[in-house]
Amino acid sequence: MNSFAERFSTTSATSQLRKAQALAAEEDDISDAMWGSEAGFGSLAKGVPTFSIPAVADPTAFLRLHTDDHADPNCRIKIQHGTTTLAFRFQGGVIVAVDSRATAGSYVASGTVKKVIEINPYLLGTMAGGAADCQYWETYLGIHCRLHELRNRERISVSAASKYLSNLVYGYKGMGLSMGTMICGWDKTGPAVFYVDSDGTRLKGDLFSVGSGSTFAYGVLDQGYRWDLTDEEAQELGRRSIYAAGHRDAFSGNSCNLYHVKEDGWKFIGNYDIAKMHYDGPGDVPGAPGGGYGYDIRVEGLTSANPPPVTAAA
Amino acid sequence: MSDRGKSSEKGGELVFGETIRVPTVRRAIHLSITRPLSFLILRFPLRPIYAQQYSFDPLSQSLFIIASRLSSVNLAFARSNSMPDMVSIAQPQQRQFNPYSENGGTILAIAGADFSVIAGDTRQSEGYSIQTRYAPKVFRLTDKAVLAVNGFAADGNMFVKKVRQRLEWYRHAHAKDMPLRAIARLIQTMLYARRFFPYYVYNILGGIEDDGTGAVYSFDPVGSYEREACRAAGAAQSLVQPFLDNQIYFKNQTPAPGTSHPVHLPLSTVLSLVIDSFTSATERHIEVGDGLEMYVVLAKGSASVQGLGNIRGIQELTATDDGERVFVIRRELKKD
Amino acid sequence: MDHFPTNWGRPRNDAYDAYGTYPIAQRPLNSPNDAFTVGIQHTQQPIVTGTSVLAIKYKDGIMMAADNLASYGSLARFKDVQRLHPVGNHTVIGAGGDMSDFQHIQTVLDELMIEEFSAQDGHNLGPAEIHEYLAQVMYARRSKMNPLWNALLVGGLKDGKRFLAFVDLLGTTYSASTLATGYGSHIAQPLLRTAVEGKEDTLTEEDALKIIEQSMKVLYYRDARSINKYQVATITASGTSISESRHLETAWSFAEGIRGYGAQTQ
Repeated sequence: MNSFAERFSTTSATSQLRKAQALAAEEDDISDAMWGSEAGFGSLAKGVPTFSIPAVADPTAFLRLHTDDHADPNCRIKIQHGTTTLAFRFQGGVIVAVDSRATAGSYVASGTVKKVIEINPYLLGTMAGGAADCQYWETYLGIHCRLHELRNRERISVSAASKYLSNLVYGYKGMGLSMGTMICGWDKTGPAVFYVDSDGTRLKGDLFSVGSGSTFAYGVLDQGYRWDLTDEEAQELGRRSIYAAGHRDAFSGNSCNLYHVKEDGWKFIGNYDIAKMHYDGPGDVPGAPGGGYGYDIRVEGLTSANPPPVTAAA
Repeated sequence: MSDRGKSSEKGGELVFGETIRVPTVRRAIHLSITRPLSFLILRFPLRPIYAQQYSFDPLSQSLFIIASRLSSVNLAFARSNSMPDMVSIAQPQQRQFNPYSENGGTILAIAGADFSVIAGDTRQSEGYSIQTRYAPKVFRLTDKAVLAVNGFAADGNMFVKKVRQRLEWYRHAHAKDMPLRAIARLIQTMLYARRFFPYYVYNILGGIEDDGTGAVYSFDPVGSYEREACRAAGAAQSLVQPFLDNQIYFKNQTPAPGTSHPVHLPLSTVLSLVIDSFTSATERHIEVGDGLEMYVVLAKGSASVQGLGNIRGIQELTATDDGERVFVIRRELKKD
Repeated sequence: MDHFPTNWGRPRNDAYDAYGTYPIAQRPLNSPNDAFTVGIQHTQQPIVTGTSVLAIKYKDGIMMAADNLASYGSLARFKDVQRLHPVGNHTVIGAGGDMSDFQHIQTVLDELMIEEFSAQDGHNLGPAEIHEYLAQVMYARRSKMNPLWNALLVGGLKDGKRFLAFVDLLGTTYSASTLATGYGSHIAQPLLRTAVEGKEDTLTEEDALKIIEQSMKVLYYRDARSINKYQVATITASGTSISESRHLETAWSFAEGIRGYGAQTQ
């Protein structure tokens, strides 16, 4: 066939090839790895995560236009958000306590969110900000922590793990990721807490709280914190702080999840309903004073609206 | 904020502020970058015509680009100590096309001890117009997994298609169906891969876990997920979810003295709750109505199968003899 | 980090509110009005456009109609444009929206049909396959933010099965026994539903034609981008046929007496 006809033919062998090439070039999100046993890796099938970017001049503006958690009706894509989280270091390890409310605008999207992400038996991450961002990147961090163990025959330090995460999210700075997380664990240096957020901040410290309820949690935390807290006192402090935030912050609430990291890894202590803590207290748990955290109990029988029980009128 | 430099033909060592040229044909290049990078912006010299993919691994400081039919891509690097200036990369707005729409409807799923029910209405609408009275939103994936999608219908259909493709590939590689919890994680990564160009889809996955328990997983549009006992999503979620909280989780209910609330409800109760949810949502939400499709997934040897026999119009969709069974029940909803 | 959930989940516009000065209860508005719908209107807009397409199912197959006008804004620019296009022997597609994009679609489909024909593998594409193909093309183009600005109806009959479905520039698809695009989806669709629903298997060709003609007339009375010249396509077991252009008989004398309709000034 002459080359001109060849070039414009739609049925020749070369045109078939041309079409196949064009098709292959368009299949951006498909890789060979997806076929075999790696099929489950999703966006990780290429080894590093890959993301589709909208073909507009300013992808960031595009995302800003369409995604929003606020009650703004223009933005239909609501992303779930987590809210009050805290972690602190003390002589007995690390206490991690979080609430369980997710909001989309003013709607309580869920009251049973797991905001503590179990990266591996020695590492915990907390979730504040975009729920998907935290879940995805902390899971991804878990993969790399395991790879670190396989390469170096020792567990990754909390410092290194948190730095890995902070470098990761820094690479996406300005693109709309939103996560405020505390990476908590126990390594060669003892208990450790690192604060990492999507701005790229990474801080080492003894005590952090993140989210809109953080100010309330800090209030309780700061007045009750000592390095030499006993395990029971520390757990109670975490519980009490999350209760305070759940009570006073509209974006936080539902229940409190409590974890304690010790030398042999983390342990889930319990889930406590915040309304129940207000009226009845956390139940019969070590460190709890008994009775509800609400102030009703403290004014019981002391005001005219709530007069003392008539004790033997004698 | 950044300066452009000379251009190089292909991958290799890249210096600060350099412009690279990616050949026209599909090309993946690996680049290692000589100095610590904080931020990376892809610039398009011409109109950005085709979707770009790139990823940047901050640990190895390497960049991975796939260019499709783009003559060249300019990379601009911000200095590592400066904030990217979002204003300066904003080019004149070429076109403002809204790739999303909203097609109404509501979906819902409830997990029982050894079954799970996944339901959705069949109305598809845009604004005040009803496009069709029958557009399914609930799809059988395997004999133990059913996926309900809600939001933008085109995204939803495409997403289901892609999930099914991945499940088929899994079947070819492993000669079995993917476990439910693995499907849930797969859906998370597939949704998150579109973090910057999200699928406008709320997903609810229901089915049977490997341990034989009923499960429901709910997702947000970018992939955060959670296993729950029940979940409603879509237009009438704020009408249906409180009802389910009350009837399934017994929220704000006090059991009669000496009794306690059941942990799991029987299938017949769950089905009537689902029907009530949708008839009520139809009454109070204009985007809900026309028809109801309820998928029932039963675990191996589930006793609930007895109650299914006398249900009007029930249809079995089971494809394998693994033991799990899938049924669909269709009901009419009000059409006004 | 910004601790307030109202500001989470999307890139903050530093140029607009660098120091997060907005109180929690409010948030900086990031768009002029309802960005979600306004977005559709601007730029890369269709230039030469066609208006509604109507289609119904009837006893023998599918009937589809579209007028012959291609407008340039409010100018009735081309008055002899065919907006119904046969694809193979079992399918007709009708298009509203940008006519150049529609011509591109015709080219692509014709090429596809030639390719399928030359394979000579005993398969040929029916309306369902063509609709699926179109839906994928439309969705792929919207995902590249470079849509084909059309709303298309695909109607056909193959192996005794009627098929009628819709696809638009976003890749949205649906199927029903009566369909209408654009202005017709508001004005003609209710009329079509009343006339057709439940009677798909009994309506004769004459009945169907009457329904279509009536709806086209109603559209012509109210749609300022329509014209009284249209074509009707039928797809039946004997194949596709697209009529010559027909003329709509309309009467406007009633307008004399209606204030606000005719030429009265007060």
